[in-house]
Amino acid sequence: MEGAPTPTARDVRFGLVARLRLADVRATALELHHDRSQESPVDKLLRIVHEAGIERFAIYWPYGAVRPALDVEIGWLLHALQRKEIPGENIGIFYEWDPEGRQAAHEREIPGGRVVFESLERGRRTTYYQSLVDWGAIPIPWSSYEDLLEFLEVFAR
Amino acid sequence: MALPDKHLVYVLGHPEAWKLLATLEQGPLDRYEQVRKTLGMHSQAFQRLLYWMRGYGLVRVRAERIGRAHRGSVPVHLEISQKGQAMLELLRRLEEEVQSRREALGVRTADLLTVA
Repeated sequence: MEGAPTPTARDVRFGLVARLRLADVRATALELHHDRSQESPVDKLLRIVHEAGIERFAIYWPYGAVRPALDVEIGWLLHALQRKEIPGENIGIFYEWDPEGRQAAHEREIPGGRVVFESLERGRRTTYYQSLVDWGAIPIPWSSYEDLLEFLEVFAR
Repeated sequence: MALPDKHLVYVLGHPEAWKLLATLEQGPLDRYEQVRKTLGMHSQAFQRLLYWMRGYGLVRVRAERIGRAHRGSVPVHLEISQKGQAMLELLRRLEEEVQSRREALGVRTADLLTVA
């Protein structure tokens, strides 16, 4: 709609959580929980994961989004994967992928016929997402918000 | 009567989805081109198939060797998930039911679970 503000990635995440909750999926986002006095980002993450009983983690990776406060959450997930505290199939990396347009990442064939997963957004710290895949997280492409919502619901159940 | 889940509707409506699950049941595959040719699909159609099968959690792309350090691109393979395995078992039961009701349902034109 002309003149309407473009939703931020945060707006989209909040919207996705709201829609999932309507489908009786127990979903949340860190920003939906109040910060506590003198609580570090890591402490907050651990507290929310424990209090909410979170077992599955969905990473929303739209093409071109800014990624503030990325290191804490990704670092913690990587550490948990390496220590086998979280199964890789419980971490979904939902990356934007439109075969006709915007692609945050893709799989491509290399000489010899094998396939590799790689970020197409160099210089945006997406190497961490590749590391998550390297340690067993599951990359899942989406090309519309409708598909993303559907895939998230499947992932959550 | 409840509506069937979308992933069941998708698989029932796409015979190549059945074949993909049956193929991957035999083990992960790291060459998409080989899978595509086994299914006899055009590359764009194969991409769409993988898109929906991954989105519905029936198959997944996974690192070829988990935890092995890579710089940059991550070698991956295609594998069937637990949901995909459960779906395949459901399809086989459905196939048995269909066979037992063959006369009432009419003549079939293809054996959808036969992997070439």
